[in-house]
Amino acid sequence: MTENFSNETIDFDQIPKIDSAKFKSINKNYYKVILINLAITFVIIALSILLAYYFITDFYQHQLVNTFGLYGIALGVAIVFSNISFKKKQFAFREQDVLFKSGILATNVAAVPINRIQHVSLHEGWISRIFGLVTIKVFTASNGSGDLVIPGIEKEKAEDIKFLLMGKISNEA
Amino acid sequence: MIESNFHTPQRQSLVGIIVIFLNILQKNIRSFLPLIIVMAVNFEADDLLKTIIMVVCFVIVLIAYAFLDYWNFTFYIDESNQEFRLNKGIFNKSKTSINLGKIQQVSLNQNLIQKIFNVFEVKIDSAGSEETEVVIKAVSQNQAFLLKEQLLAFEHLRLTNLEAAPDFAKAEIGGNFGQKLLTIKLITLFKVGITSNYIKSIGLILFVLFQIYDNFQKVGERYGVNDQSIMAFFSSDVFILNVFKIAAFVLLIILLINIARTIFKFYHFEIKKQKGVLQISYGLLNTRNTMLKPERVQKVTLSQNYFQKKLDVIRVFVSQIISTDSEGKDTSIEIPGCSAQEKQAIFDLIYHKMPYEGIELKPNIRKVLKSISLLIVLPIGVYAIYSFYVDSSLFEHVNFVLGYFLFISMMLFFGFRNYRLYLAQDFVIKKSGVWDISYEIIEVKKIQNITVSQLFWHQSLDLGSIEIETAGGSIHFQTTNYTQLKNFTDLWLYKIEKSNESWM
Repeated sequence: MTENFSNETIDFDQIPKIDSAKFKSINKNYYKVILINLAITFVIIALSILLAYYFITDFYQHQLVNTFGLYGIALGVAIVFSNISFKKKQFAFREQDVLFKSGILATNVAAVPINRIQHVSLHEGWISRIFGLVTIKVFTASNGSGDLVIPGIEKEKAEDIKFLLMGKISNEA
Repeated sequence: MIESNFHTPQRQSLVGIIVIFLNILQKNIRSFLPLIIVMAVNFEADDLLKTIIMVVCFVIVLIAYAFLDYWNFTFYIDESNQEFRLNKGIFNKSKTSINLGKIQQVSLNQNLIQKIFNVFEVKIDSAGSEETEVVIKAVSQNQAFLLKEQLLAFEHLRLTNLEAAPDFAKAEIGGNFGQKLLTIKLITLFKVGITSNYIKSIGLILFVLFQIYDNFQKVGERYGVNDQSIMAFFSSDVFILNVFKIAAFVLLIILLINIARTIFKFYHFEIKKQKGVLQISYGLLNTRNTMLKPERVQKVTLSQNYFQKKLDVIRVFVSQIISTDSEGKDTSIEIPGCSAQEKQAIFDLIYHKMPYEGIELKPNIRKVLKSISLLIVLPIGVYAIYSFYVDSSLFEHVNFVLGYFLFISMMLFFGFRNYRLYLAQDFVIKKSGVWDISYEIIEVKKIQNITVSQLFWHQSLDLGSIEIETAGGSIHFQTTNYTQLKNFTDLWLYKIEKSNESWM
């Protein structure tokens, strides 16, 4: 439909590659943050199940056992997945862009050129705060899922990064 | 500079009160329609006085509301801060300010009511993450054009470094300034109406038919006709014999509705070129006047099906920067149908470099595996097991199942065959579709971010997916040559980072 056709030769060897970037893992303590979150969630679920058991007359003991069986499986899966997810989270700040690797079954690499960053924000959850960790959010003009959310960065380092990125953005403008 | 009377807070045109009132009235009537009908049906003469009092009270409340709405709606241009400010709201007051430099588009529209009273709706779109869309419902023609000119004057200054010409506004009002690029003829709208939007129109028809059937039942209950008689009617010979005639009739209705909708929406679709900006106007009852700046274009989508190809009609969708709270409305500009030549003319204006297809990437068969299992294996498997073990009578319907299988297979086949990604240095183009084939075109310099991903079991197969985002929409493509995807991602990042060309 676009009648033009072009068959240029492109030399990919001279160009910096995502695969060659040096990725760093996020702070190890962040896994504790994840586990605490999981624990809270599953404690609430367990309490709800128990409450249901006491108050609903049709809820028999064997059903309770089955339910907790499923609960145990869910908990196991959640722990395994969260471990994989945590280990996979890596980032790389290159001179011209920011890369972030993540995912569980898939490995996603998101790339944001610095001259496309609209702004950078730091977010502290109450659990992360205990460990002195923050989440860096990098926004571009797109409103989709490509914007970066990098958790588990030490607070001071995050502030340095934000300062650096904002500096580069205003230099570009 | 033109004498501006927007330095102090302005209200809309006085006539605006009537427009607001009529607008609220028709909205309320539409929402209360069921209630009104029920009341009308149960109406008795004694109630006449009560009804009249109720209606009068209602109207008075609406008029008061319309007046207060009008009175509390003020706007002005704050030149010192380079902002457009709007204050509105009777109880919940809100203040909006839009940076003049961020204004993307100013549209002047008129719906039927506004046309009668000769006022315009001014709609201001801007790029940004806060409140970014402002609508002023009733402004006189002069005010509308002046306001538009003033709002854009800042942009003109920024881009051209010249003082806005004094007779620019007058020229706008005259509407004859600027070179006509494209006028879509009625016959083209007709062609578009016949050949597109089948699914939407079918959906509409089914919805209406369902409502009819529903009401049929209710009315039937009242008059003693029961469900069985209705079902009997639908399975009677008379009905079946005539089913083709009925289907043809329904199809005809669909086409007519579609043609009518297309003509009403896009009547006299015209594109004019004015100082490097495209002015687009269209509409029969509701007229819209909007502008398209080539540098704001983020993504272009072309759509054409088999019939449209024979008739030399292409639909073009141009998307600009989508503001984050446009409530999911599709803010892209649609050009309903143009010939290949006209499409080229539009491209000439939008693109400095013409889009071209680079290397072609095809999807791996694994892409359809998921669809096949979900849409074919699963339902047919369930059907087979169920019929075999539980209810053998279901085997009677095996024809339907066969039909379903053939239909879905065909759709998946054509979808797969048409699913292509073209990667080049300056453009990325995705081709897709079963019946309506679409080409989504993104110029590399508009890219905001890129995400590549790979499922762990595809690692040895070198398969992966990509998502390329712009400020006006994205392209995603799954299950193809991962190495090439990464190569081009690296290339595009390099090109974007190397040049500091503005993307908007």
